[in-house]
Amino acid sequence: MFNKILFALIAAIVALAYGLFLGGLSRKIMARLHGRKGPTVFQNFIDVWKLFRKRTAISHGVMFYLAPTFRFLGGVGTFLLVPIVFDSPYLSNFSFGGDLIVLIYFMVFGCLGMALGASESGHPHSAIAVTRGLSQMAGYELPFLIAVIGIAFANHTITFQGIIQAQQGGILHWNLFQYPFLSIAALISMLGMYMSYPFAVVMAPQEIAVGPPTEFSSEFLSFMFSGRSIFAVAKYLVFMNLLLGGATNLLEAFIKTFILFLWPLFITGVFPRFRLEQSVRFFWTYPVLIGLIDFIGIFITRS
Amino acid sequence: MFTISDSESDKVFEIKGSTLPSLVNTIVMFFISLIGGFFFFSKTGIYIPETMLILFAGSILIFVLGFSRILQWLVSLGLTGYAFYIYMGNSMSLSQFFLMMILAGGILFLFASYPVSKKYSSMFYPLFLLTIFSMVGISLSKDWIMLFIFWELMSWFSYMIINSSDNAKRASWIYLIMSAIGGYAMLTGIKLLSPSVNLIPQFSAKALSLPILASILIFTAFLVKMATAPLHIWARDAYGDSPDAFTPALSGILSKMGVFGGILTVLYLIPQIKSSSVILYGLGWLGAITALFMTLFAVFQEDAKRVLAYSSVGQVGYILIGIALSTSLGYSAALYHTVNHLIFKGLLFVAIAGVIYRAGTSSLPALGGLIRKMPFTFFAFLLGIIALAGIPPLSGFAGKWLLYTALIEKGWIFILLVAMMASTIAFLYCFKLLHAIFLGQPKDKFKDVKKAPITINIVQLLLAILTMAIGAKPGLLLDFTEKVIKITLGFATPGYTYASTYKIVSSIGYWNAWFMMIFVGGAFVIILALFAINNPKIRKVGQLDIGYSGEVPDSPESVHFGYDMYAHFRRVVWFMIKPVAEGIYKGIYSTINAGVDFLRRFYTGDINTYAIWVIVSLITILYLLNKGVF
Repeated sequence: MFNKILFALIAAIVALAYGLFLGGLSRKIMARLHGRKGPTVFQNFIDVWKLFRKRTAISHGVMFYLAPTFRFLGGVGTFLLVPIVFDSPYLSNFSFGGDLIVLIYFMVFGCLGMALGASESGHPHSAIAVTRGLSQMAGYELPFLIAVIGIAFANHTITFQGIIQAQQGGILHWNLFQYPFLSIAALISMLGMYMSYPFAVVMAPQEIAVGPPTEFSSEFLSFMFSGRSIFAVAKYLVFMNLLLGGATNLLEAFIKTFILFLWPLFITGVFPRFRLEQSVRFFWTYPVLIGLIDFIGIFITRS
Repeated sequence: MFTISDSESDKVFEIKGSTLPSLVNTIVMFFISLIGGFFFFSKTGIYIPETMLILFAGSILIFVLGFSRILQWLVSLGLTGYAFYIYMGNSMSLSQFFLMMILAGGILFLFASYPVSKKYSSMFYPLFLLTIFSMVGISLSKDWIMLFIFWELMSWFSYMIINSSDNAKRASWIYLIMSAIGGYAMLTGIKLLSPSVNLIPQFSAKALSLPILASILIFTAFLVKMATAPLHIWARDAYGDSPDAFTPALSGILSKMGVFGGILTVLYLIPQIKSSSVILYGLGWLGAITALFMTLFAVFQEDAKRVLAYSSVGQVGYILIGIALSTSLGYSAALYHTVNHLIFKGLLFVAIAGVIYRAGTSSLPALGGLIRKMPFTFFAFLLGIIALAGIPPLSGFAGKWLLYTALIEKGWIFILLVAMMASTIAFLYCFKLLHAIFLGQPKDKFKDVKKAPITINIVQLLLAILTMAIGAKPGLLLDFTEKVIKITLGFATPGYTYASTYKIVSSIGYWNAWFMMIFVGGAFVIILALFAINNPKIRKVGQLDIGYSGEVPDSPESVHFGYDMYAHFRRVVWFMIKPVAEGIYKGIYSTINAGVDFLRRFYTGDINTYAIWVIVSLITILYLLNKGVF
């Protein structure tokens, strides 16, 4: 048990580093796309460390403390619920803690804290950003749920172990090839989940320097930043386990998550922004219709 | 008390044109006949819950003696507590489960009601008690007739209590009409159940006549109380306008009577129908559609109580799905969620009662920033919202997990999709409530708002502890539901197993509540402590000290975001939130009106017209008699 906890903590730290690195890499790639030189790929490490060493001078109240706490906890908690390497006694994290349903609901935990803290600052744009984020979540969650429920029902299990187990034995057993339409729906919903363009209007109030990160600074911001990085890695792992057959060793996990990292990045580079209602309408039509092809098939064949 | 002459008390007691003396007469006569009826029935050997008599008598007493409000409050609490004490020891059958829930919830909500109830008529506590005891009667009844009698009593008393609020005349009227529709449907259904006039249909009776129509009619009555999709029109205004001290009970326990009746119907009547699986699947869809649409309606309400009203109805939709599954896991989910909904929705409605008592309004755009004035109320409210949203580690998640697992096991994945989607959309109104009431910018007029009354805070504390305890160890509640499922519902297992004390395992997944609670709680304390230690010199800033695009905002009103918060989302779902059901009811109403208008041509009110009708009818009858028709 002690070993498990130790390995889970190490894994969390590695995930943090990996997440920060991926964040830096995406900044670099985006800069090159824009024709800029861009920051170094280690810029996020520098930022987090610099912020962590600074103290905050002002507070808006108790929820203001709770927001980074919730955010960090939501990120780490989600990460710890996902197994990294299939059947490894040490790199399965705490996935004994719950199954997919637990995970889906726990993923909201961080967003909730973020929303509360930002709201308490009394800044109207924070609340606007939160309502946009929640609406967008209602949008991308439908195709994501179609994929998750479809895969869970097809394998008659909602545990990660069961779903990864069912995908072993060759690349064609992956859900990506077993249920291609479900996978397309899931991958499109992933774009919304990562708020990449064209679904990035949620981020807009931050860019005009008034959103949640403006009210937070220093140590608080570094925790939110770290939580976000780990959360991103956790979501790559979720998609890897759901669609790409999990991983049997660490290297495989790194490669697969890196491929998943590239997918929203390349979409991001070439699109303008949707308005929020356009995003939600998009999520509720095309990916849903695509996903339903497999979903109905699974419903008919399995019941 | 009986100085009725002054006009103010007349105004207070006025219910639809009748003043106090006539009301007293009606109620006293009613109880005399009721008690007489009970004695008569008890001679004939029909089962009567005997303590009901004492409780009814007690409720009359506090009315007739005209106690002061605080004494009424104490006596009501004492009577309900006494009832709880009497029934406490019985074995955990279905009716015992609901009985305990009604009485425990009744005690809690009565306790929270005191200072708030001062603005309502002195009928408030007697009516509250009578509502509780008619619900006790429902859960204790052993046959359909007794159930119907108490059902009607419950509807009437709750109508009167809703009506006692100033602005609830229309709402209570719609509630009454819908309840009456349910009541008539139920009575007709019960009549159809019984093959002969003298036989009283027991719950478990077999060999029915016309069971399909009968069960649909009886279920209609329960669906009205659950306020499922086409019958929901009473819910928003009745919840929103009812007395604040009564709304928790309306949502927490009264709507659960529909759940009780629903379980009875699914258990005893529907299995006797040939195509029962189709009907159950339809019921499942009804629940899912209710959950989805009520959640959508809730997102666009601008009044805290109305948001919670639609939310309640939506949550009861989940319970209906659980009942419709009629597997042991489905029943587990339904029963668990029944109690759990009482806990967190009670918590939320009680908190809102406190807010209205202090701030005087429940309109979301008007409120804001109350966290600084009512910190405790806020934190309890936050826990209630987390439980409502179903986020682990609080108690709300267990109900969702059980229900979703049951749905996958049964193979109803389309219903599962709709249900999960509804619960995702529920996050929207959860945040809306938190933000618009407690966060954001406090208005100047709420500068002197005090903390909520202590009774409300105590109830909040209890319910918050409950939701955390059950969240960490769902066995606390699941032990009871397991007994009900084994004793009354006749299943061998509750559909899940405990792998260890805290880990619940179903056939397709598992979930460790204790681990989640320890992890979240532990990490929470560590990070918060780190922040507190690391930032000793932190300075709290004023409410308008925000980085607002380089400007300094001058009034909180100009920077509080609290009205139409989901305008962008409305542009997506506008076609789903049209009030279709209300349109249909209005159509029925105007059709009936037109029909009656047509009849008015014959009933002119003029004696000469009637004389002509009499003569014409006589001639017709004579002519027909002559022809030998009769």
